[in-house]
Amino acid sequence: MSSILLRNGRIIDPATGRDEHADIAIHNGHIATPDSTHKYSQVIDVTGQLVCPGMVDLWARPGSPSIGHCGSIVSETTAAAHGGITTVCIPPDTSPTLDQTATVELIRGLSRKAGTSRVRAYAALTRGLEGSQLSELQTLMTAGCIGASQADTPITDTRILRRAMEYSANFSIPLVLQPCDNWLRGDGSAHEGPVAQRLGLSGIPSSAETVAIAQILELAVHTRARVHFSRLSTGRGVQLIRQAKADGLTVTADTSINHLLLADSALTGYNNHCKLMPPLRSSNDRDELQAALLDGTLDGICSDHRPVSIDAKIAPFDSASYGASSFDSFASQVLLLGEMLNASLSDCLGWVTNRPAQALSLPYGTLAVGAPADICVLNQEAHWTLTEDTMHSKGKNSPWLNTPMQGACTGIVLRGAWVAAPAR
Amino acid sequence: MNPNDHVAAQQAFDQIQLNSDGKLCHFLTTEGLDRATLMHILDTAETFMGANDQVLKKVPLLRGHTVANLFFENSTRTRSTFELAGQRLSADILNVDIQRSATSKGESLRDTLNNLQAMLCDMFIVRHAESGAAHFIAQHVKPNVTVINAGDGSHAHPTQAMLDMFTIRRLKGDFSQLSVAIVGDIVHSRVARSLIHALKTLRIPDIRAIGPTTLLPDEISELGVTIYRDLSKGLRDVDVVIMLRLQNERMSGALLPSTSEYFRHYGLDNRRLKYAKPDAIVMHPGPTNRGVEIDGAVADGPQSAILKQVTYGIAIRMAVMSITMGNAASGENNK
Repeated sequence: MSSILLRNGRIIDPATGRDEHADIAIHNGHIATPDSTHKYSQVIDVTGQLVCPGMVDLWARPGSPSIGHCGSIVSETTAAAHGGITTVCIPPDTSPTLDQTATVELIRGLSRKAGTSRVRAYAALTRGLEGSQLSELQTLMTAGCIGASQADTPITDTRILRRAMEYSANFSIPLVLQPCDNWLRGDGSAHEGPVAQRLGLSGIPSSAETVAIAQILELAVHTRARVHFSRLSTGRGVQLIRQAKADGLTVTADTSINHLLLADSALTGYNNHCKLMPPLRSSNDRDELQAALLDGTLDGICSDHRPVSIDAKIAPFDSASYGASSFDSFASQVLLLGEMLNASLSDCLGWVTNRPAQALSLPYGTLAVGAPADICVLNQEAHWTLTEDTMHSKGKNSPWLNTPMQGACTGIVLRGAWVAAPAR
Repeated sequence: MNPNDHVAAQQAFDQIQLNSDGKLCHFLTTEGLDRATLMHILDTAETFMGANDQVLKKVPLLRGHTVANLFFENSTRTRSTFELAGQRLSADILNVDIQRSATSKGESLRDTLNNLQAMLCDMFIVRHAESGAAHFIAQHVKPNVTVINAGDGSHAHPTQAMLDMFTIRRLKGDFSQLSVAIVGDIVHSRVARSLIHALKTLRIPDIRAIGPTTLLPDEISELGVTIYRDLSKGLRDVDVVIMLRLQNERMSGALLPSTSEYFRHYGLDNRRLKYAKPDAIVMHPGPTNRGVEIDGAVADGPQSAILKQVTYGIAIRMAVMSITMGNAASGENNK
């Protein structure tokens, strides 16, 4: 197998606290100590660039055959790879649902064959995600799933939810749950607040999220299930997580990059590109999410990448599909967020590498010697504009279209190979 | 545009109904229009009023133009008054039967629109169940085609708001000293939203919203109204009372227990009307639910302006149609 040397970059490994200019070597797909006597098959000069662990994205959709046939596993994991994301964790609401081992193998096989980002999958917690019968969770975990989830269709029957949590706890299966009370959510399409009132849009109250968080937390205490709260959107919600952690509960949580940068005011004028689920909430909520990231209450940032066809967004707001395509802008915006919040580069990169990996006990997100060599090289000085042409994802539905970006991935190392990213 | 720049987004949104000279070329919402524009609509409607509070029978302003009524939501009253207004302006009227058209077969709104435009209409009068639909349509029509919003979801019903303002001006004169109360299901009401924007722009100093929390959440106050939970207190010394219709659907979803309990606390009868000024006028966008939000005696009584609203609605719609058609032909529409 080949060996690679990345020469003269600034190595930042949040997991070990390393931040220094040095070379980094890869032997047989693992991180190795650089050896000046060794003849490397490939030597790549990364002077002036950041060398960090490949980014670990805890929630992203690899294309959506059901929403206007936009994107595929291959196109989207390629876009992720070009964005510096080496591990993409996909929800089980694929077509067919991820409740059969054959489906898991199919998806993982497709991504391995394409040579793009690594795909890991969450098993459907219940069959067909219908919320009544358990999937064969242990079998699915053995087939390679990294946890179980209900995607965007929460279990409404609390007795079933309790049983699902107990069963998962029995096998130490992490549950990745987006907390949302279906009744309070109703037919809302935006955050219930002054912006939705002005636009005449049916609102989803914050309590839809917080009621569900409280319910899941109580059941987690009762069942000892391990829960990761996915894509929180409310300030009150992160307060509940902070308290739960202080009480010693094993919970983790994340939020999406767009929820950290945008508030419901972005919907002004019916901006369909900002129609997300969970919805963008008030600026107070956004500020509290940022604070929760800084104090460690939130364990990471996901992309919540959801590519949809352009037609799916060209409609009055209620008919438009929700979701944003975020792989292409992810690295740049994470760096921007870090700067806005005055975080160190190490902390900032930690939000998308070792912290999310640790939340789900994944063996990625570090540059320690011997670890799998998932590496991302970032050029902080790259200035470019996010356009339909510069986006690699087939989904061009981004709130940030035609916005200047700073920072870009120039290449990744994955499965022992260097994959250069096309210049933007 | 940076999605965080909501001020710029609001400005761009407000500009959609104005041409490059800043003149009204679509009529989509009362929000974001200046006082001069709203007054111009009222003054133009005035020119269509003849003797005895009647609307002029025929003017040739829209002769040779084709107006299409696109009602995605059922309505006989509003559609009829727009049709009458178009006829009095000498336009050709096309009623598009959307319910039984391709839309019910799954055609997208955009495709429906493209097909309709092939029929060379100059103006679309649109009513749609989704908030934002009228702006969406205005952004997708050809240049020099005008869109008039006849109601989009819970967002706006600007011609209703303007005929209400016309009624108030005709019966009360000066806006600057008035106290106006809007009563009822405000959270679901496009009429209420358009009214509130118009009342603010025309500088009515005291705008009140009266209703229970389930129909009038606290955050409505951010639109610029004072909220009252008690009808008698809210009506004290007001000059204009505008009652909103209570829809039957409000009982399901637990917004209200019954129409009779609603009437007991928020229904307008002669006893409660006495809290308002003795010469206060009572208005209602119609259709009225007697015994639910308003007592029959009040609706038929001497202070009621409800029937006048219907008449003035024709003049206002004639005004809006002639103004926008004229401006669509001259300046360039904003896209």
